[in-house]
Amino acid sequence: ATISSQNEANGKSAPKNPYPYPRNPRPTPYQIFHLPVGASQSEIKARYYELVRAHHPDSHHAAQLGADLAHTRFRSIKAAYDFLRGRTLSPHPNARPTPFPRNFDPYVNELARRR
Amino acid sequence: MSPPRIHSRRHPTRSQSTTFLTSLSFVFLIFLSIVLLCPVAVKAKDSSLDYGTVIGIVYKGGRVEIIANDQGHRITPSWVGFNGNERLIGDSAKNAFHSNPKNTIFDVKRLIGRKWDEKEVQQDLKHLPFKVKNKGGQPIINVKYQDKMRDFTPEEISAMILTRMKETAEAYLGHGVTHAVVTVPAYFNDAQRQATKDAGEIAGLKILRVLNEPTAAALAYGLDKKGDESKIIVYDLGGGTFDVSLLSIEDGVFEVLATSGDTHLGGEDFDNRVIDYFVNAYEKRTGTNVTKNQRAMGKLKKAVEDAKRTLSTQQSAKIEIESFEGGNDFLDTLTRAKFEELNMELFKKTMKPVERVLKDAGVKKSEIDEIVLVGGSTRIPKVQQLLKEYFGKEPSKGVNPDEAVAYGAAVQAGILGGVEGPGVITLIDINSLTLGIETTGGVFTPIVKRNSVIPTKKSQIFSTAADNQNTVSIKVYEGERGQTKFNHLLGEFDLTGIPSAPKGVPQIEVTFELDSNSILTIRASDKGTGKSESIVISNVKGRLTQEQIDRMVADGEKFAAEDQLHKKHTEALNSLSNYVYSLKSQFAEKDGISSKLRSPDKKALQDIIREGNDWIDEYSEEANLEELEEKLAELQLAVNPIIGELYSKAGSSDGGDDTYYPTDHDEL
Repeated sequence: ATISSQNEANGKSAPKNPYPYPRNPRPTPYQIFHLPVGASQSEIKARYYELVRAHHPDSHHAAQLGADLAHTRFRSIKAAYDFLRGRTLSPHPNARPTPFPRNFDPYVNELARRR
Repeated sequence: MSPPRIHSRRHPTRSQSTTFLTSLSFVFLIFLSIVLLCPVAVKAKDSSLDYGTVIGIVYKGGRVEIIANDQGHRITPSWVGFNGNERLIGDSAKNAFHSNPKNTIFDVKRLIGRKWDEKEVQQDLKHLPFKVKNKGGQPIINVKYQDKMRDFTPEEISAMILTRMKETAEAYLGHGVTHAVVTVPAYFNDAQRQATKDAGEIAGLKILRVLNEPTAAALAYGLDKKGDESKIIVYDLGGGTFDVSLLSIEDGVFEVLATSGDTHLGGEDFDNRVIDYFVNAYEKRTGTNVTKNQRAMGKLKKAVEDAKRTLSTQQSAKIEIESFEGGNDFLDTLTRAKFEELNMELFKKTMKPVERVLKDAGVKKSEIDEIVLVGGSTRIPKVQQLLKEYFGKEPSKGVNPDEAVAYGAAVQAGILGGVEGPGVITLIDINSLTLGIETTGGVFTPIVKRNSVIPTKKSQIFSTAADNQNTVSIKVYEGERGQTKFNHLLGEFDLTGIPSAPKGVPQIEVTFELDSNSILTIRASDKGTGKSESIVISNVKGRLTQEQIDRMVADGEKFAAEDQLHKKHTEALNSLSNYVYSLKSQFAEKDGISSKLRSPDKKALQDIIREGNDWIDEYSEEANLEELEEKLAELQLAVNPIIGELYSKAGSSDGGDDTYYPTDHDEL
């Protein structure tokens, strides 16, 4: 990996975040993920990694936001991800886990049910 | 105050955000990553040697470099020795152990962040040769330094080692080091993490992150892996602790899926089994039980450790200890088969956490792409074989088991320093232990489950268990058992002033916030009155206060100054002795000074040399720096006219001028 040790915070603006955090106060998981309803699990996972890259509190981008906001956003992204993956019952950070075994996938479950 | 009675209510409320991390933005930063490979307690009863090591690493110009210490070693043992007026750190302390066992400190990681009455501490105390006492519930190390008995907290001892590493790094870089990333076993609890962070502060370092060791090792392993998702298991078997983590690596994103471990399993336990075996064998053979003989046990421990290392590459190892006990030598052979037989149970025990991380992450063992070995004990062939049998594939030897953790910590330091670019790495880490509070009937109610992504914040609403209850005491535990008595108490605090109401009516919101270091902050608030109480959990008991830390920082500086003084003292003594001895040898040479001097001068010089010699023999131990310097000056003053005369008389003689002068003497 080529990593530059220079801090690029001074002067130049950071590269544009392709998936900015929604501005409305209560965004839906799909808004956070910039994905249409019904996106596939692999799309969701790939997008999650992209969001984490930009929004993780350790990231360069989040450092400019301030810790408080960065943490809140990161938690919301994680909560939305857990919901979209079918791990929790709601996209809220305090959401309860689904009363199903781990890695329960609502889509797989639905497909199995229809078969 | 009412008893701790609160019960769980069902509906969680919206979380409110608080903050306790300041944003990190740096213009110029140099990072020092320091690794504390931390052995924790062992079960056997004997004293033990420590493999605890520190590695200094800098992240410089985008590259990670491991700095050798003053002995030229890349790994520094975490030992501190107090030898009279001298303070030894690292290799020198370990080497001087036999001459000064009572004042040589090691294994301090087993004490840091722990309480005196913890079972592990009590077990360890039995075999630590130095003195540890109970001070306000904390284990405090008591040593003799500068003819006084002094108390040091485990944090201070750790800080001394960190300070030395900081100095090494500064010498290497040529400028100051201010920030560091420290690693701890993933299974370290909140108090241990907090104490480690405090040690950094005492050493004058800002700890950017307390990083989990297996996670750090994974960073080192996966740094150059690009592209598709791969799942790896990091199997970290060190001197005293065992950690397993399962990670998914994809395109520079490192996601820790599950972590597990055992804080009482490692190389020390393997050594102890072998030691017990030899002690028994020796007793059978000679009828002597050597367990009481500290020196003999120390020698055996060292020999067994060496034999264990030999067995990683060879089938058998000879153990030879001269004058082992009562004038007898110790001679025996340890075969690899015997070593494996003695420890098979422990080796198999390491597979349980492996199974647990697979189960927690919901990953099948066939889906694991790579098994990364970290920690010195993974060199044991049987351990590698067990893993190979379990996963059906050869474990990876791609990383250096001793250095991977430190390397990964340096990478993380780079991330935190705001490194940007296409190769940027993102780390999603998790906590390793479930955190929760006690509710009615000693029930453990989890609030943050293990393997939750950090940083995280969770809250839950609780209520009173009795009518008109005004106080709830909130007891915070960590662990995986359903009842609090089996889990580890982190701390407790009270929320008072709840308005009288029937039971179940007040709404008390308890919020757990875990930062990126897995350090916990808890807030409890009464939704009715808005009254709230919050703590950083380790503040409750034993955590050092800011004043204590400040005092320790000052002490640390004082000790560093004393070290400097001691060094100067030694140097002054050396130059004085050199001066006298070189005069003496030149005087004794056949065609040396004596042949060219007139006899009164010769006599005078002889007297000066004799007097200097006597003075060194008699006073040099007690003399302070000024006295030593004064003596040197005094001798020079006496000698110079005699030597000077030699020159004025002889002009340039055949031997060349220099031979008549003490070699270390550049003022003349």
